[in-house]
Amino acid sequence: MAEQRPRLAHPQPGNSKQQTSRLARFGLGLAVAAVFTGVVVVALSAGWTWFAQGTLDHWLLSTTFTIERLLPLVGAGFLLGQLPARFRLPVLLILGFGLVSALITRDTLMLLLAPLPGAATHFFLVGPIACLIVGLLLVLPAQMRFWPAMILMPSFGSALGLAIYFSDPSLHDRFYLPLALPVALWLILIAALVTGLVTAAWTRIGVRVYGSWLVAIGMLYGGAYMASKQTQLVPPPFVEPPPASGDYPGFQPLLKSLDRHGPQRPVLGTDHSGIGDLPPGEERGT
Amino acid sequence: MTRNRCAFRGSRSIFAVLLFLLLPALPALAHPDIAITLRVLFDMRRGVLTGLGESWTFDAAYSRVLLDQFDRDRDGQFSAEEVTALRDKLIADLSHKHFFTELTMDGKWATRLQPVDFAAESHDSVVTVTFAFDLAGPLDLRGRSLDLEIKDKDYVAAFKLADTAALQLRSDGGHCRTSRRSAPDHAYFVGLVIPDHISLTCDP
Repeated sequence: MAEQRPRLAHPQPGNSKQQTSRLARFGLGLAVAAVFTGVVVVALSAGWTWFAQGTLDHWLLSTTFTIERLLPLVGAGFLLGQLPARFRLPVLLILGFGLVSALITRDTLMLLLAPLPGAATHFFLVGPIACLIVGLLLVLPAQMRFWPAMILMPSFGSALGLAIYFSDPSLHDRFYLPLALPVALWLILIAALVTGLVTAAWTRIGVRVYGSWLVAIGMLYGGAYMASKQTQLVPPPFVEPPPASGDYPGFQPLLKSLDRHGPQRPVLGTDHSGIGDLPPGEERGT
Repeated sequence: MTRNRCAFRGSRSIFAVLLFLLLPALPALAHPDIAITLRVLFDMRRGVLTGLGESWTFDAAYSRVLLDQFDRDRDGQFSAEEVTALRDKLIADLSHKHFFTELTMDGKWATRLQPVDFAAESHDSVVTVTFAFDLAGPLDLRGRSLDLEIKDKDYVAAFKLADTAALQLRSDGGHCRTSRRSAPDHAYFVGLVIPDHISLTCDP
């Protein structure tokens, strides 16, 4: 009994190493599985669009894979990958917190950012802000990044969340956010995985150089947007409806439906949950 | 020293390439992306509003998107099946946005909108979709006024009333009239966009 006590208090170095290596292999396996799953999801989404439309022009993820979005995402991945393993999860969680809270409180965030020159006409400058935050963190020496990351990553997450929300290429496609948000996180994880695996000394310098580029890009584009003379949100040119004859131009095909009453006028749509419900908190007028 | 200079030059070149690559991303920043020209039909029965029609004519670019997505046989027109597919998609995507339509009386939401019919057509590659909505609770407007605003609060789509026949009244017996005005007090998207405010007023 007395012999067993020290064994429990001080595990043998060999066992500890074995456990660490097993844990590392498990983590790596998980990461590879996540990368593979992500590749499948992105490929399926692109393939489906191609099959249905014969082009990828209107692919829901087309804005996710623009260079402006990829640069800060990859930067965030580099940051995570070069952090000591025990710090990665807290930083990732706080990034996710910023991202989700931005989606919930986007009106407030927009109001906060709106006074910046050129903000409203340039997506509230969230692209340059994201580049600046990640760039500044990457420029720091690797061992000094954790606490600044814990402070700045919620803002990065918020900028990312708003950027994703605003760059919906569709008319509020219900699949856009459920697809674009995980894919953005997946891109960060891929970059983190690669950076975590390739630990040669030059990668530390390379990542700091990349960070300095991000700072420069963020400042250049942020400056250009703020100096932009475009202060009005200009929609595409409106097109007048086709000339129509009849008493109610444009509505002739639907008049019969409007003439029906009650059960003879069935509601369209496969899922009626929420169709036509009043917004939460709204009271009906009398 | 020479090696350092080369590295610096290489770094600058890559930076220049990155900036160059960023340029094509700029047009994607355009907001709003979609322009919709509106016509509205108020369907009345003896002073009671029972239905609402909305006709949306999309801008040329978004019409192209819709044709690419739904005109499967590429004939420039929507067949019955294609109309059904477009209808299901729009209803599924926009029902939680209440089809951007706010019907209010005395500042409070008046009733629910339920889509009961849909039509879509393409003229010269410009797509117009038309919704017929049922009102869950018919609104007795005799001696009262109803307010209508159609706006996308995220400003992905911008709405504008058509120049001709924008507001139409059906079966009102000549007792109701519509009016429209700009409503700066209802500005949205951080106060940058001023919606058209439509009123429907009926005699007692």
